[in-house]
Amino acid sequence: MPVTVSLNIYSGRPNPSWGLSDEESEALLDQVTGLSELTTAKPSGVLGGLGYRGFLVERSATAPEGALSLYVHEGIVDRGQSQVNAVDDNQTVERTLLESGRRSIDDELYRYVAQEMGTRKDVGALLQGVVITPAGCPRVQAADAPLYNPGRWNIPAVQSHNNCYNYANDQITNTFAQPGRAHGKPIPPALTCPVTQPSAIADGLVAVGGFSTPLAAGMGWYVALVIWPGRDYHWYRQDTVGCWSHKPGQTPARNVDNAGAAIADPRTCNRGPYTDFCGYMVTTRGVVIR
Amino acid sequence: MIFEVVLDVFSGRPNPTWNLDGKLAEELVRRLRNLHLAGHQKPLTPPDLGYRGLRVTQRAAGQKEPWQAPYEIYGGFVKHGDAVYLDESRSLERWVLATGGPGVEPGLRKQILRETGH
Repeated sequence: MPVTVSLNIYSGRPNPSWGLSDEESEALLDQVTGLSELTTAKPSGVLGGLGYRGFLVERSATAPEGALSLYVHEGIVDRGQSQVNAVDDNQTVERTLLESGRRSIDDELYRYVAQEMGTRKDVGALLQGVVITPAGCPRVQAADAPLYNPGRWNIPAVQSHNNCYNYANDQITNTFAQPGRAHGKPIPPALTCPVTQPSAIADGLVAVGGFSTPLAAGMGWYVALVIWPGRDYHWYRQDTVGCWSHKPGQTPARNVDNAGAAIADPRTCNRGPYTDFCGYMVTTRGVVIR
Repeated sequence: MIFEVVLDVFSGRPNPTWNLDGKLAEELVRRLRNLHLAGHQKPLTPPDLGYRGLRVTQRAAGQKEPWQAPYEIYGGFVKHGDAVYLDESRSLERWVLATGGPGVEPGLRKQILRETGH
């Protein structure tokens, strides 16, 4: 019995849907069962909304293989009430589903969905202003805080060309951005807090004392600068969930520290050799980096 | 035959990168060919921040893009595609690190060598 894929996208019209061949079904399920990282997070698509909201993958209960119901969106494979959800790293399963529908949807819709896969949804708005803060994460005070969406960063075209500074500013420039380079104020070789921070300030970031002051829409979000003395710098950013995330150099973006723990405050998390905490700063969409 | 070596260590600054050709490339190939499969031993997972190993990629002369999977060297293991090899005493890792010459800050090299148990 075939597996059916539905693209959740329309409001008034029926959603596009198509069947997978036996080979496609088997390959897809191999991908899903191969996902090892688990999560209790839900994709925002399950809450509804307008526009692209993910894929529903179903098979009837009368099928010899049994019932199947998966919801795939925002790098999460929601497997229903009886199973923990799985992390779909790099949105691989989601992209496979999009490709499987290539012949069933027109080019414009395909391009729209492909583009939407890399953008965030305002989960807070979907929950009518109630933001669910995971246990242990501080309440986020910045209305512009970015959504934690590693799938946008951890793809070959992006990952190795964008560093911690790109990630903290939520800007994909593919230049491995350096503080101050866009404004003629590169970081001096000394690499200490006092000489590194001015380069970020030249780009438009503002130093602040903490991350508990509310920032209205348009006022930016909180980031933090740390230093490996004499060697390197690193940045963290606070996401909508309240905890912080980061992207160490060419490696994937992640939301745990060097010991694998969630990051409630980069000042106190495990930072490996980046022992010097320089402070918190605020960045905005208007900051220019290169 | 040219190999590009990337010392994966930094977050903000670009990683130190250098090429191996001529005799050094030949020696690298000899060392790679002498590696044995790791069997059931699992490679270590490098930390997120700090030294994360060396990535060696072969490039054809005059070509910018690599033509096969990189060798990822860290913690006594070498990963190449799906294969995992043992790097006894991390000797390959230390040798490749040493080929970085002045491109790797002396203090950084010392710090990494300490981590490799040297």
